[in-house]
Amino acid sequence: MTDYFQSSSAHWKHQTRRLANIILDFVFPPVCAHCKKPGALICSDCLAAIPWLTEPICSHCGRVVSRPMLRCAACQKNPLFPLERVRAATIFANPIPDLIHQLKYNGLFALAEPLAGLMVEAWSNWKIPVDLVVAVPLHPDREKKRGYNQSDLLVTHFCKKLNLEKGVRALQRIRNTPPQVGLNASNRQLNVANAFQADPNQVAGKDVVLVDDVCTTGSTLKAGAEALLAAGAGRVSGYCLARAL
Amino acid sequence: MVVVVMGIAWLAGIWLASGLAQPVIVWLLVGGAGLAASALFWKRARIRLTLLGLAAIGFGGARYGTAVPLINNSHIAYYNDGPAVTLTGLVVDEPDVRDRFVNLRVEMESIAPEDGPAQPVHGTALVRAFRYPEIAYGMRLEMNGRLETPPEWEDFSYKEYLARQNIYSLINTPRISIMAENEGNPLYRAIYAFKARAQTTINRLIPDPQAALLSGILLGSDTGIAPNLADDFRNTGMTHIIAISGFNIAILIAILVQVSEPFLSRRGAVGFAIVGITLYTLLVGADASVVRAAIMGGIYLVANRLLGRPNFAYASLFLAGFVMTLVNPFTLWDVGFQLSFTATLGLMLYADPFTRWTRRRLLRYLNRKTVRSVMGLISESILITLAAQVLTLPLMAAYFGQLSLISLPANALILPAQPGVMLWGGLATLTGMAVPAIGQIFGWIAWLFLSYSIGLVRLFAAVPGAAVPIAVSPTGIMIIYAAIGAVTWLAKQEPEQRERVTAVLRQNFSQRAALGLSLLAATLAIGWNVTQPDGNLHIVFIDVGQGDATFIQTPSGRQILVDGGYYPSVLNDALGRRIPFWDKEIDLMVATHPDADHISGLVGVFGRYRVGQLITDGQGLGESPIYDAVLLAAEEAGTPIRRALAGETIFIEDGVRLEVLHPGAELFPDERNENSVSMRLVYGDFTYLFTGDAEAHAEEAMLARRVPLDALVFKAGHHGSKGSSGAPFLAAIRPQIITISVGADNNFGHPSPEMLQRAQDVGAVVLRTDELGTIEVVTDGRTMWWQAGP
Repeated sequence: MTDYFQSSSAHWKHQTRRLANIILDFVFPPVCAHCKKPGALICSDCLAAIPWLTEPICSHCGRVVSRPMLRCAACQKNPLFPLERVRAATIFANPIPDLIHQLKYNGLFALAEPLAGLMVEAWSNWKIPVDLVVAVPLHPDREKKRGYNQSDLLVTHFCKKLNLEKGVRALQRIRNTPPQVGLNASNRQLNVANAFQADPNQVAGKDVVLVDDVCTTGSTLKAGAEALLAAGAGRVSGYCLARAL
Repeated sequence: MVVVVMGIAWLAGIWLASGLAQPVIVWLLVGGAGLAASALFWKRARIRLTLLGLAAIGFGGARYGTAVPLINNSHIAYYNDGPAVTLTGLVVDEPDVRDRFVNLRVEMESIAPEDGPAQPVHGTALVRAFRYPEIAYGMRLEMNGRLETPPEWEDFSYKEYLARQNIYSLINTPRISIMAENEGNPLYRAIYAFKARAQTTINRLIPDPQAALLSGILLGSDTGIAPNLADDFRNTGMTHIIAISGFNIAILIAILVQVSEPFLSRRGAVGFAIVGITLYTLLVGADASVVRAAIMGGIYLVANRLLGRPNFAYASLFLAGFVMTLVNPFTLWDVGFQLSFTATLGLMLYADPFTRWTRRRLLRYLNRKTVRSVMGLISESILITLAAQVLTLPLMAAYFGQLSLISLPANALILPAQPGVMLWGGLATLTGMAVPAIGQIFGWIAWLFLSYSIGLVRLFAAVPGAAVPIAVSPTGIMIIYAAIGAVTWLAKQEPEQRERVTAVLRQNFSQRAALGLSLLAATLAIGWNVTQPDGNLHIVFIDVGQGDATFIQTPSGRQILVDGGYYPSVLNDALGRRIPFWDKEIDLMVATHPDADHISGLVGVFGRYRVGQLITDGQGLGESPIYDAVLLAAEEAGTPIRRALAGETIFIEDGVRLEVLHPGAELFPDERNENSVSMRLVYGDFTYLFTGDAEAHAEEAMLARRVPLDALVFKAGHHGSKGSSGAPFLAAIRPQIITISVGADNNFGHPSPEMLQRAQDVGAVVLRTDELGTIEVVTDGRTMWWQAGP
């Protein structure tokens, strides 16, 4: 009986949301965030142009390389340890940079859903060990100013579609750092060192996947992984929407 | 896209229903059938879209059908063109104040025939009343007069125009008594009170005509703009900057969001901005163009900032059109709606292609860097204007019967100044309401931008052939639009959407700030220098049509105003141009006698300038409503009122003196004109005499006092009427110049041939304002010269 009620109310909730979406699509018709063609937030042309991340890549940091290898030159010089590995759905090339820019800086947070869809589509390529998915947090001040955390939105949609467990404030930023954009690799590491703190109750003993929108040098992911491991996490991997080269 | 197709279909349905008189039920059936069929074909997108369009046509037609009211004996229109009746009703909108009248929208409540019992009625009437006593929103009135059907002329149907606002009856100057005030909606009362304060502030800080333009741009009340300036705006195709539109709303949204973001959440900021634009829309009178912009702005806020979606401008435009015509289907015929709708559509359709095309062309001849700077220069002013005009020009040609050829360069030079007008004007108004001294500083900056706009409009309007008359038939319009549509369709095989509009509306002030500031300082300094007193005495006979207004500036810059004519807008315009923008002082004001054509303009002067003293002929309250208004305005402004008494002399510090010649201690009973204040101004060898509307009796009285009357310049009494400027009086004056302030083709036959003959006999040159416009006599105390001009 209870079961029936629960599933029924969930069903109706789902139906109501669908109807609301139809009405919203009518009143505020979606247009492609990149090329402005009406129809969908990412139109079929732009979807077809998505630059998927494909082998050969560095098995550790996920960079595109010319032939399969265990560790690329960059990793040998500056390993992303303690991260298990870093993978992404796409490479950071057109139309991805514009879409991420729209998502982060133009307020188009509705893009999180189709972009998370890209991450879902590529997920099965990489066989990453996962018990819990955690987003790279923004500092509360910046999140308040922006109104949302784009990585957290990506994780929400990602977990919903793949039925994975999502960490709720499992990783927090305890220091407000300037944006990584425009810094070089070593400065990036300094910038985010000790910026994070993880919640042992949620992460202890679990294989955690840390999600960010873009991975450039991996410094942010690395700092997050250190905090997660310190809180007792098992293996920690990074999974991003886009891998910059 | 569905919403765009359905929006077009809905508007088409309304338009069809106005031509095909079908019962509402037929339209509803069409709509219902379309909707049902579209559900059946839900999977076939193209057929579904067509059927949904059909449904929208049906529902649009039905909405039109239900909008025409039923006129029976409980609707006031039923009593149109009958005998005089007594009505009571509530003023439901802000009074629309014109130079001579106010138009009131009165929601009627009861009607009573002559000596019959009152019965309840409904319906709104347009009541044209005198300006005084002043009537405000929320007053309950009792009116006695005739209900009339609004007239129809050959080229314009006032009846249809008013019917679109759900008004079917007119009442012309009924006897009005105010039964109660402060009724109606408290929110509206508060908004209108705020608006009135803002208006007062603008008038106090900035001289006309700049103040009148700013009121139009900020507050949506353009009635203060003098008719000749309004013509100049029309001839240069610049009328749109007077009206409030998307431009203002976009800037307002940007400001509201910026201001609220540090304090409120994302959602909170959206709510704050939506409340803000709603209040502003109500404040400025909710014209179709403003409502359109406000709805589109609201949609942008919700879509972009609340839902995180890109804004699809076409959808919001047609959604706005749908909502507005749903509320009132007749909006479709509103000229403001049509122009604002087509201009916005033009921006969306053509702004980007024009820009890209031009850039490609330029790249062929110039290098990348030069192209970028050239584009920055021309894109916003010229290309965007062109894009907006593609679809509005045919409409403008049809409505105004002329095509402004100069409008492109005019727009290119004037539009860039408009953000400055709004920013500084808005700042001046808001701070001026709290701290006048700071508001005054911003006011001067706004004055600069406004003067630039007005100066250029005047300049462009003076170019020969600025506007050419053109006649286009309705079929012609259809053909033109069909051609534009076909070309657009071809050029856009792949339709593209853009948020160009919003991008256009976000201007970047900061880059120009440094340059602007230095230019500002320089121009203010030059402006101040130019308007410094030049050491001469100026007497300006302002061309106020049929009426009198003389402005005198003494060698040291003292300012005297003798009478103010009938039209406040004309007087304020003229004063604003002659009094330096930083000077707010009129030292002496003379109201020669209580006639409306002499003193109507004076009331508003008290709100704009500090008047040192008002001199009257000594009449008390109750002489005429307009005279009462002048006395009350003076009292409120703290201006002392003095009666003129023959024999007195007023000394003005720089050697100018005014000798009062009339009236004496005893006033002529029941002869308003004969009590006119008359004075003789003396400065060195120069003398000037004015006598208001004085006629034979007053002239005899002045001759009998045996004081010197001789004057080089004499302003003819009573606009040169037959009974004034008698031969003995002229003989005593021996004038070289006689000026006559008179309107062309007036109903009074002024000036009379007899009077003109007497002027010729005495050997004086006659200068008339109806022939020369405004006449200015200048003297240094030894020689004098005169000039005429605007």
